[in-house]
Amino acid sequence: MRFRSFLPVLAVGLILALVPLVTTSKQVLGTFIFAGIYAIAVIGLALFSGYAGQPSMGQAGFCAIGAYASAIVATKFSLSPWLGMLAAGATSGLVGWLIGSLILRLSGHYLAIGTLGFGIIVAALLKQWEWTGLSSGMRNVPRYEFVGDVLKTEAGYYYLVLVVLLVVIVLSLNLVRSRPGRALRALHESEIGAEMLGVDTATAKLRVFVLSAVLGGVAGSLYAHYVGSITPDTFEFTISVEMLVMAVIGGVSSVWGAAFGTAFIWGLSQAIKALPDLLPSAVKIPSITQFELMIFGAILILVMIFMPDGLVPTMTKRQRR
Amino acid sequence: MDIFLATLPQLIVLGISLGAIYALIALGFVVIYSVSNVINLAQGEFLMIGALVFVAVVDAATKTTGAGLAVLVGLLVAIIVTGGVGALSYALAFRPAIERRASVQTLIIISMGVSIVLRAFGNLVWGVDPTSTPAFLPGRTLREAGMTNVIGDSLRLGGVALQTQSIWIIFALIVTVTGLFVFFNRTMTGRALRACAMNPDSARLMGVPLSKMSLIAFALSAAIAALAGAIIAPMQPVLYTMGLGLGLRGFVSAIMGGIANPVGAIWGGLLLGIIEAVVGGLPQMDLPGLGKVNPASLREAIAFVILLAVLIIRRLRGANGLGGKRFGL
Repeated sequence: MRFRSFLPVLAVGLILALVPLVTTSKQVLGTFIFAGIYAIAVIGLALFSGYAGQPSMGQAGFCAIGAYASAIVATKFSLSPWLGMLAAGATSGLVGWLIGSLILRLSGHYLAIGTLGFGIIVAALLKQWEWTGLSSGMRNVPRYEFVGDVLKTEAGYYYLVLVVLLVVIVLSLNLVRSRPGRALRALHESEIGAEMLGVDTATAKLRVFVLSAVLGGVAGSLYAHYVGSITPDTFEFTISVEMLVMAVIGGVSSVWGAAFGTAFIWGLSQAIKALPDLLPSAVKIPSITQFELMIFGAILILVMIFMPDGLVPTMTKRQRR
Repeated sequence: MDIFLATLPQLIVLGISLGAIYALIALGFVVIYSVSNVINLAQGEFLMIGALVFVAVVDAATKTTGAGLAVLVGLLVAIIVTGGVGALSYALAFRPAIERRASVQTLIIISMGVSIVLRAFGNLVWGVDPTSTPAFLPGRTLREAGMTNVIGDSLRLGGVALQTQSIWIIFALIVTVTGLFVFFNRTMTGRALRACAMNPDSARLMGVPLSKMSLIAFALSAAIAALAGAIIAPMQPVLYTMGLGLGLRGFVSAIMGGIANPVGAIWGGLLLGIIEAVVGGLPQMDLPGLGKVNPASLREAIAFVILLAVLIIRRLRGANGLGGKRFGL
């Protein structure tokens, strides 16, 4: 990777690294930690959706597989949670490969529908499996160990998520600019065209699908060990939709777009949650979560109508003009 | 297993009434997809709005008009209001995107946006408490009329219990299908809609306003969904979350039948309903690796396992899901 393209990552990393120095509030850091975990999964989703040209509506399914694999390794086998993270990536990747080999045969919107089905099947199966604790899920998932209890503090975990996120961003940017990345971009423009130029489109698609599954799995592992308990409902269909919203609003075919979209939606979500305190007490919002969803839905529709490429690519295109 | 076999006829009856609902929702998918090429994932939310409006109107009207008329008024209001919601969603969310030549994927995502907004709307207006209405034809009325084989709201016909509401559901499906048949074959608007489905470019050249036809298709689909929502209001909790699961099942049914094929959608719906009911009635099983599994709770996954299987088999046969004949009842 050229140094110039590395600069923004460095800058963003440095700014974000300052956050725990400014505040030690568990709530604030927690918000950032969740946003970071989401961003990892959303970047995975964007890599696949941006290149295969199809929205994936099952990313939460891979997060679920990763989270459960990690939790099982750490609790049932009492092994190191780090091995759990490894198992999370490996299991999600393997499942991604199996599922991908099947559903990537589909094209057009049938592929999107296939991913949707996958996410729902995962959530439904987790509820049925005694080993994964049925509907009540898994509890007492320990934190990762690193130099004693560093990662048991909020700030410590914050830095862990930040490092993983930055590594994911650098690797993804590298991939986008590499030869396989160019092949994938060609795939997005025209599958037949790419094939004519000698790109093995089936293999290229499968690889990026597996990669997106692995990232989803890692995000799931980070989530499980942070929160300490997971249930099948943690990863239900609406979470997949939420992730898709984040990816699509930022710009689905851009790594920065995915990161930006996640930050945007998370920021907005926090702002809306703070809204009732700002409004005069006469104005009452019955359910803040639903109100929030309504605004997300409206933003999603507007962005899709006016900037179908997402915010980040549209902005950069305007700048270049 | 013997108990299961003994209940099989009952399960199939249950499955048919469940499947008729799926078929109604699936018809909505087919109408919209055929005319405007949009896969409208908000179809289930149209059903939810229809059901909630229906319950509200019936509750309000029962005191003044009596139960029978209240159901009629409720149906009418629910269908008109939801039809309006459908037309409005097209005009506000889909038409601007289609005019900007949005891709099929963008339109799917927009339909997800519409369903998020409608679900939130349902919650903000009607709250989180489930409601319902009494059966259209309460068992009490039948007993007073001298029928002896009525238990609760169900008829007993040779060992099989048939909810009176199920009869209404089948009736609604038959009426809807007949109505659509007449509409698409005998009216000018219906023929214009079919023309758009067959070949949008030629239709436009012949002077058919495509955008207006899409608007009608959305209103029509939403109206059908509202009918489905109203008619199951007595059978399951009516709540802002009810649209998601039902919508997805209707969608699976539509895909099973080939998404542009209305007759296929009806068969798809009935088949899915029967499979779900039968699987739900299977005894508890001890599966290797999975432990004890209660099939009733696997129903949710079943629909999608079938969906994936159908899609992949079709694809392997080279049809890419668009099997069967094109639009036209």
